[in-house]
Amino acid sequence: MVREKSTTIRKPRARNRLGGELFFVGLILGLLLVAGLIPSLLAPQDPWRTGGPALAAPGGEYLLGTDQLGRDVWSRLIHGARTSLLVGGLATLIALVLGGLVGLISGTVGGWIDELLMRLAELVDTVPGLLLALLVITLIGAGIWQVALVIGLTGWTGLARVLRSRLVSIREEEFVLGARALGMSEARVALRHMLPLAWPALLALLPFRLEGAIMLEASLSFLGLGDVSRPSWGGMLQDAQPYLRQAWWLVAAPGAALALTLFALSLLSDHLQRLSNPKLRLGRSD
Amino acid sequence: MEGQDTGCLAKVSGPELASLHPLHHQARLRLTRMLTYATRRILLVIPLLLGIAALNFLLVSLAPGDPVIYLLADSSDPGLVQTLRERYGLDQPLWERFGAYISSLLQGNLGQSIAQGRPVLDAILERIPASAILAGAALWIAAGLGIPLGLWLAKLSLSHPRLERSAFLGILLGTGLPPFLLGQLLILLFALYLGLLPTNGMFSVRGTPEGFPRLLDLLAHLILPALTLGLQPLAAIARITRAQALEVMGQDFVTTARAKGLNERMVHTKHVLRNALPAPITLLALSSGHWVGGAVITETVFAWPGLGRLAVESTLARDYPLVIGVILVGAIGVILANLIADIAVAGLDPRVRYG
Repeated sequence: MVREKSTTIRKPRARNRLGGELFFVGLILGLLLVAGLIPSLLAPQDPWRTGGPALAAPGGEYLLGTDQLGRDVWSRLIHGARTSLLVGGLATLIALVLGGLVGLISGTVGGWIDELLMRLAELVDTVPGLLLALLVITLIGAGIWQVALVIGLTGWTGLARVLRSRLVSIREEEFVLGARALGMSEARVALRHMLPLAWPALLALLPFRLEGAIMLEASLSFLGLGDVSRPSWGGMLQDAQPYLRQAWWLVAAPGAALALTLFALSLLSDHLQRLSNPKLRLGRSD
Repeated sequence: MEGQDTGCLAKVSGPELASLHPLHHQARLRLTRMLTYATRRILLVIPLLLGIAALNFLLVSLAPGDPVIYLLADSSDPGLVQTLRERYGLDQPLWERFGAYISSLLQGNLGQSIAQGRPVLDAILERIPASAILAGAALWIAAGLGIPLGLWLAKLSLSHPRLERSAFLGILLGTGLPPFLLGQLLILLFALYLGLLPTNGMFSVRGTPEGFPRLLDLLAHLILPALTLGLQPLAAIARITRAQALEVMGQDFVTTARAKGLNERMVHTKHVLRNALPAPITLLALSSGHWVGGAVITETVFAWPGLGRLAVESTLARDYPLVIGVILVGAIGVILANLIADIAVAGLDPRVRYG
């Protein structure tokens, strides 16, 4: 890519800094992925085993100390990563499928269907996501699938809008007109000629969506409305509340894990936004 | 920008122009345009509210399980179930229930709380002041600190780009810090280790004083929750103000302003700030849904007696009429925020109200 080359020549320092930041992102997300996929590799103990001394300080046998029931905080942290990743990933997938479908239909079909779908997106955006999640949990209870579903159902609107706006601008391009003139069906034009140009914009939004989903999952768990049968960072933070004074590590461990994960994801999404939007990359602005 | 306003004179017909004093004319025309814009914007709210009511109603009706069963956790006497179903109108067909629901909503009746046994509206109204105080304080913190911080970052990025990047990373970290985590950290630091501030409730439990001391008591209780709720939007506002200000600073009219001899302060307040302001205002409105979520968490962490805590309490009690009531109020809050922001942006940016 010519543009990237010119950036390298103009700002070698910026390039190095970028590398450092992306290395950090890769490190955190890599750790998260390993913890989520094979928790037994990193966690020395069963996250539910209550054998240890209660509220033992970090260090020694228990790397990050133990909680009020004598469970190993480090092991719970690793297994909690799995919950975050599972719920966050599932919710993002649901949002991607829903948002992709709605955006594709809205952006290619147009007309009253487009109008209707966009009004629907507006409606979903008006209802605060956490409150809608509370209602659904009131009605169908809290399990890992329900929580993922709820988060996915509230998170598709931004994705749909971005895909739609990309498609609407592509729709006016000459090659689309050309493809139609060759007698291709509308569906083929949309899927083979328009979508490949539009979906990178969607992809750039995914870390941002994942960040929101992980945050919402942690919020629900913190409120005691997540899946209580799995260790989760939000749940650990809730459990820690009565012991704030005696055991700082009960807040520090899940808090740091959550903050680092969210930070890495927002850094990644910041870089992706820059890459996918040349106006931001070349200008002096954000 | 005053210069952009003069464009509207061309659109006015002769007689209308003659009937007015030239100086009053422009202000009056501006007001009329604003009012037209505001009215159109307000009328659009009605279908949205109906849609939200329909969404809530559908979710409740389509969910598996009978709410009456939850209510009668222990006894499942069929007679009692029947009586309760009739009492709450659950034996009617779906569309009749929807019609009844909408018509009672229009009369200001939000239904009966199952767990509290009293009108939903009463339970909600008594919580609104606490939520309004908390949200207002957080808004002041977020906007009052976020906008100057963003402007400062924009200036810094032109003079010290490397330093500015570190500050930007700090902002990014702030945006990602969830309120329940931040709240606990603040409690740990200010309340438990330093022993400076109270950690829960709105007033001291023992011997609440009257008058001015009562206000001080409220303020002491307000500081930590307001910081907790306000920090995330503060970071987001600083971020977008910075980006917007950087874009504005590169525009020709800023160069012109400098060239005509304005000092830096005037350039920044009259030209850069005014043109950068619509972005954070719009952001505030668009993220107002997140604010409601943040308030739910913050009120839970600090035991603040507002609507957010009511939502959690009623969810735990499976009191769905009350949950729906809070959602409706939350959605109205979001709609109002968007309305106010749109009108404010239209007031700041003539291109919006004529476009």
